Parts: sequence; structure tokens; C-alpha cells
Amino acid sequence: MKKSRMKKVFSNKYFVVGLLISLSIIICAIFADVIALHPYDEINLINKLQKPSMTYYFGTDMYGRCVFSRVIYGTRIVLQVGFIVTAIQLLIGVTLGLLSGYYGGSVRRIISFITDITWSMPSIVMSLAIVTILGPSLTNVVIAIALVGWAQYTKIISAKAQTLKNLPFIDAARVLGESDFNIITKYILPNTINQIIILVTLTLPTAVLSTSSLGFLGLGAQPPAPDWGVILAEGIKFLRPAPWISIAPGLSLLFVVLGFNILGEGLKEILDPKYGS
Amino acid sequence: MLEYVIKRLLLGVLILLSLSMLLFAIMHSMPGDPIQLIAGDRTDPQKIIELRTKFGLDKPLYIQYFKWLINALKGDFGLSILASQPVSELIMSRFKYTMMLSGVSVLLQYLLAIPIALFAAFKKDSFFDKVTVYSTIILWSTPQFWLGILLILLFAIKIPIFPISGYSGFLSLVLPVATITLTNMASGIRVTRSEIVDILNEKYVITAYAKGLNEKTILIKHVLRNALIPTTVMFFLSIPWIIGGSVIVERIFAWPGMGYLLWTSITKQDYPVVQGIVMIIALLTVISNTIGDVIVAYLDPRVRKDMEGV
Amino acid sequence: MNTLLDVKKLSIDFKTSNGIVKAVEDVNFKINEKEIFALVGESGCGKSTIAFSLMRLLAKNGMIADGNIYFKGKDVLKLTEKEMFSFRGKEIGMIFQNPLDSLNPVMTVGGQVLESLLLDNITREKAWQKVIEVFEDVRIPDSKERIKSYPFELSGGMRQRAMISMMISRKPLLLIADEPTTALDVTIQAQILKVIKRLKDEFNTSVLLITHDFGVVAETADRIGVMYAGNLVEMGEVFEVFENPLHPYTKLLMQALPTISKKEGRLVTIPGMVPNLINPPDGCRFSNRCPQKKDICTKIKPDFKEYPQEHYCSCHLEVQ
Repeated sequence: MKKSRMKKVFSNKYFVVGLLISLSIIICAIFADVIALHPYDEINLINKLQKPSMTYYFGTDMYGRCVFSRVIYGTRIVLQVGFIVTAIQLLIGVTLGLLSGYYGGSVRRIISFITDITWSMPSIVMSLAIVTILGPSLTNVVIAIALVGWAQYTKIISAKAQTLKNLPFIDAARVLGESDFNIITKYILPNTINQIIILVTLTLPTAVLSTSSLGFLGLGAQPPAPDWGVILAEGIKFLRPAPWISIAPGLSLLFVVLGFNILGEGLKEILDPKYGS
Repeated sequence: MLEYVIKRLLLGVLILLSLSMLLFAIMHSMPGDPIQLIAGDRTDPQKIIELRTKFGLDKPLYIQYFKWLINALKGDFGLSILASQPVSELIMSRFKYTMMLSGVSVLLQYLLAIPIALFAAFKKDSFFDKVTVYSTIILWSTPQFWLGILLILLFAIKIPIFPISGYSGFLSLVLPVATITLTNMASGIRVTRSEIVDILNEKYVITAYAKGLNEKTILIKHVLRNALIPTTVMFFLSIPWIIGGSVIVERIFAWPGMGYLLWTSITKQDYPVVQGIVMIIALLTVISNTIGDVIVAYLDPRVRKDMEGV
Repeated sequence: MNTLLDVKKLSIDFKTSNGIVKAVEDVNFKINEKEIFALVGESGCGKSTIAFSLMRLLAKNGMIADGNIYFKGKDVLKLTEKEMFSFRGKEIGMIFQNPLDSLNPVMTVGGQVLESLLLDNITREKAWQKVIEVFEDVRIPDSKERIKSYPFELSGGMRQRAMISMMISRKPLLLIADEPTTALDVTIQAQILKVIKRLKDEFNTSVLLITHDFGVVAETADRIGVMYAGNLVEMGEVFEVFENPLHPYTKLLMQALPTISKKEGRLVTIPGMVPNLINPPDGCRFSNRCPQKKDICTKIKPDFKEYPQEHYCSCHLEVQ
């Protein structure tokens, strides 16, 4: 049984490609010290604005820093942010979703109202508002994006929990005297795993894009941190003489987000057979 | 149905009020004194007290809030701390530029996405379809700010067709609109295509063939018309998102719109302006969500009857 | 009686990822004018497939491997795509099992019938009049009001009547009814069958009635064809076949019907399973379950032989 399941999973093109890309990012992040050629903040004004070459794969920026190395070290920020944001959104969103779906009634209405406030405007505007209040920094951006995005988990998990709670096996559990907490954690939560996995694959790439967007606007990670959005923004002024400064991090972002999205497509196809492209 | 719409609007108003209270409270209780920022270190204390009174910052928080609320309902969002200009004037002067970008972009997306999705869905798994699906995944993953810069690099610097930044007539619209359209169109195409694929598998499509209707009529009157219900709503709902996302595009192209103003206001901590813009966007969102519901009811008789029963 | 539909040696294959499914093999039958012909069999025996092939509406992976379908003398299989669009709805109509799924949910039922009628180049006014007329023909009450209703507003029986009216509005000579009453409850079933019988009696429409319910057949049909695993195994007039079934499969089916008169005893079932149609067995497809199987049955396919009183059967056994 398990072997054929593995075969089915790995025969999915999207899954394999997505997985490879994601793994390569993780490897870059872990082994950044080895892969990068120079420290990311090493200033070397003599070498500034140099074209990509064998010494500097992605060229150098306006301070003579190696763009390639900056991009490689940037993978750490990307991954940390992606996972932390997703984890927070998951925790808040799933918990509220389970409570809302299982208890219904006024619990649901309150949670629904709070969710609606989060949805009352586009998430980027909301996160901008939060960053304005908290001040620009990477931590605050992570908080902002996490706070803005948990609602999608709540909506879907709540709907699923509502369907599940009406199934006979839940009644059976209640009759057997299981506490609400047990019912929710032992019976309802495991049946929402598929939805959660799919939501995670959607959240990761969005979190990465949002953070780098805010970094681009100068409201996230602050220089000299090698946040890809920051590097790209720094490169705008030098677009004519040294376009590689902005092109490289953007391309890397595309690569990462694409990888996560492709992985997501693959997982969707594997987990939800009705989802045929 | 009118009842339903009113209910939705009331809920929206409640949400907006809660939001504004939250924003107001937090923004005004943050450390960091905007007055100090404008005044600088060399101004004497008397001037600072004057400035504070001028901006009403000497009164307790809840009074400040109510004043703000009453004024906001009249369209007066107070004065910008930096520009000493009424916030509403500031926003209004920029609003039309943002609407230019957003409006043209949403329209373009709608006009392009639907035929592409229809063709791809009808010829599912063909070369065209595969290219469409792959392209949408790539476009959807493309960071908007990078695409903008790439377009500037290629079509304003290397091949100087379009201006690099700012508003200067029709040509200057092209690159920013292209950036927004390309990145947002992808999900529109995806969703529409998926809708149409589902509908093509419905039994009533077979019935339409069995009746002897020709293929064009079937595709347009039965398939497309039904698919357009959720699709139109989706495009409509995307308007506030495009407006919100304009912060980035306007920053790149130095476009004199609301988004650019939002960015500069945030970086300079001009709270009244930030508050004003955020509330306006929230209002637009609530309105467009409600209109979206109305559109669905108008187009889909099943929903209409449902709502009437509510 | 004139022959309306003449199906000769029809064979239909489906391409699947597991191989080619020989869904229908060498089927021959005729339907006459003003006649209700029932095609019966278990799920998956190919009866719906034949119906779709008559309209050339097979799924994309289906193809007609062999045979001819003559309708009023012309071979339907030789018509061009364009000619098919004029053919469908006008010459042959088709109604389906679940009218809720088969009607466009966001168009009024009247509008959907109108759409059909407008294909014949008449004015909108005249067409609306005809819509009301045809609603009355199928006995939909309050026809003037009902034309503005949406499918979800109608009951199951009404919906099916609306479907029927839509498909007969252009007065086709043949209506294919694919399990029209399966999704309806029994009382409504009876009403719909009445409507179908009226089609034959008053409108001179022939009906190809596809069903797995012998009760429906007894109630409504003139002639019957029995299908098994893609083959037509028996055909004849309804009472003749019911009284005197020739094919072992038909005999077992008759026995398996629970009857009120039998007070006790076990329900008869047919042991075994339908063969895999990707690699159908040589010889008779029923042979692995046939209680009267002979050696020759597993080796050579039996011919579709004619017996007295226009009774046909495809079996190697000698029958009177």
C-alpha cells in the first residue's frame, strides 16, 4: 500500500519539480556560508557596479557588495519569514476555525465578525497600516502579514468543521462521553489536514511575496539586511548602469515563489482527486 | 432582496466603525511625536503647544476620535501634518490617477482573460491550453515590483518607447497598466477556465447539443453566460485589491496616485493621511463587496430567490 | 408499418488508459413509426451508449467502430458535422434521466423551449405561442405562468415534462428517452409514462425508451430489446418476449423479478459477473454465467437469429 502511494505521489510532475526547487532553496539557506562567495555585507567600493563575472556571479552593487552572495544569504530571510508567517496564521486561523465551526451560534458570529474586519480591506493595505503603527522592521512585517492572513484558514476550517460535526461518528463520540476538546482534536482536526496542507501551500508563496513587497517599500527588513525586496529597491537608482542589482533578486523571488506554487499544485492534485487541472 | 442588501451594508458600516476606532486608538497612542518631527529641535515650546492645539492633539483620545469621525462623515479627514493641507483635498487630487490605472487594468483583464479562458477550457489539454496554464502559474508567481522594473528596463531604457516614470499622457499609462494587468490576470484566467471546464461537463450542455443548437450558440448562451456569473463578481471584487496594490506600482513608476501618497505618508508618519486613505480603501471594499453580491443576485435566479427568502 | 430507424451491425469502442473498451458489439435493431421500443439491460450494458451514438453525441474518447444507422433511409453516420446540427432536435430528440441537471439552471424553462423553436425560423411571437401549446400538450398546468419559471422552481415531474416538451417542440419523429423515470418517484413515474404514451398515440412520435425497469416496459412499450454486456441478446414484441423468453439471460431476468403472487421462496439472482469489455471473451459474452452453457458457447459468437412472430434471439441453443 505505502509503496504504491509513494509512487503515485512522486509520479506527479508538479510535486516533484516543486519539491526540488523548494529543497534547493532550503539547501542554499542552510549552506549559505559555503555557497556564497563573499560575506553579504562586505563593502568594496573599488569593485562597485561591476558586471556579472566569474568572481561575482551576479555582479556587484553600488557599495561593491557581491550581489550573488547577498541573494544567497537572502534565502534565509525568505524561508524564515515564510515559515513563521505560515505557522502563526495556521495556529490562529485553524484554532478559531475549529471553535467557530464546532460551537456555532454566537461563538461563530463573534469570530466571523473579527474575520470580516480582517477582510474589510485588501491585505496589503492592512499590513501597511499595521507596519505604520509598529514601525518598519522585518519582525513587524512578519507580525503584520501573519495578522492579516489568518482569516483564510478560519473560513475554510470553520466550514469543514461544520460539515464534520454533523456526522454520526461525532454523535457517537459525544455519547461515549468524550470532552469537546478531545472531539475537536482527535476527530475533527485530523479530517481537516488536507485542507490545511492546501492552505499552507497557498500561504507560503503569498507570505514571501508580501514580505519582499514591504521590504521593497522600505517598510520591512532594513539595509544592510539582504532581503530581496530591499536589494531590488536599492538597485532602482542604478537601473541604467547596473540592472543586475535589481534583476537578480527579482528572478530569485520568481524562482522561489514559483517553486512553492508548483509544489502546491502538485499537492492539490494528489490530495484532492476532484481537482483535475 | 433590498432587505439583504441593507443588512450587508449595515454590517459593513459596523466593520468600518470598528476599524476606524482601532486604527485611531493605536495610531495616536504610539510613541513618537509627529509634532516633534515637523517642529524639529530648535522650535520653542510655545510654538509646539500652538501646533498641538492646531492639530487638536491636546484633547483626550476619545474626543479626538469623535471629532475625527464627525468630520470624516462630512468628508473632512483633518489636516495632513506634513503638507498642512486638508487630507481630503490631498487624497482627491490623487484619486483620479489611481482610478485611471486600476480602472483600465481591471477592464483589460476582464476583456482579455475571458476569451483566453474560454478557448483554453474548450480545447482542454491542447497546446494552447497547456501554454495558458503554465503561463498563468508563472505570472501569478511573478513579483509585481520586479515585473515593473523589468518592463522599465526593457521598454523605457533599453528601447526607449515609454517614459520611465510619472504621468505624462497616454503612453505613460502603458507600462504601469501592463504590470498590474499581467500579474493580476493570471488568477482571473485560472478561475474562469476552471469554471468553464466544470460547466462543459454539465449535463445541460449535452442537452443543448441534443436540441440542435450550433456550437457557437452553446458556448456563448449556455456555457459562457453561466460561467460569467462568478467570473464577473470576481473581477469586480478585485478592484479594491488592485487599488490597494497600487502602492507598489505607483512607487516604481512615480505615479502621482493615492498609492504613492500612502507610501510617502507612511514613511514620514503622516498619520491623518494614512488613516484617511486606509478608511477610504476600506469603504471602497465594503461597497464593492456589497455590489458584488447584488450582481450575483441579478445574474443568478437561484441566488435571487434565496435572498428573497432571507 | 414503415421502418423509421434501422440500426445495422453497430459497434462502438471507447479508448481508455487501460485499453479499448468494446462497449457495443454488432447490434441490429429496427424501430418503426408510431411505436415505443424499449431497450433494457443492466447498468453499463451499452444501452445509453447506443442512444448517444444515434445523435452522434458520444464522449470524446468514443468512436463508432463499425455499422450503419439509417434514419428515414439516410445513414446518420455519413452526415457532416454541419448536417448533424440541423439533424439533432429536428429529426431525433432526446431526454435524460435527471431533468434538474439537464436543464440550464439560469434560464427559464419557457426560454429553453423557445430557443429550440427559434431554430426553425419562425417569429418570436409565434414561437412563444408554440411554447405554451407544447406545455399544454404535455399537460403542464398554468402554462402561461410556467413558461417564466426556472428549473429549480419546478417539481421533478414538471421538470421532466418541460424537458419532454422542449424536445418534441420541433416535432421529431423519434424521441430517445434515457431512463426518464428513474429519478422520479413512482406516482410521478406513472404520469410521465402516460405523457410518453400520448406522444405515440396523438403525435405519431416513436420513442426509444431506455430503462432497466421491466415494469415500465410492460406499462408502455410495444417492442423490447434486451441487452447484455454490449450485445443485443433478444428482441421482439413485449408480450411475446415476456410470455416466451428465448435467451437464457432474459429467462433469468424474468425469474428474478419479484412478483406479488409468489408468496415465498428466495429471490433468484444470476451468479457471476459481467465480463471485462476490454478483453471480451471469445464466443457468447454471457457464457460464463449461463446455466445452459455448451462448449460451442465459449468459442463462437451466436448469430442474431429470427424466430416466428418477429422474435429474435442470439443464442446457440435450439429453441422452438
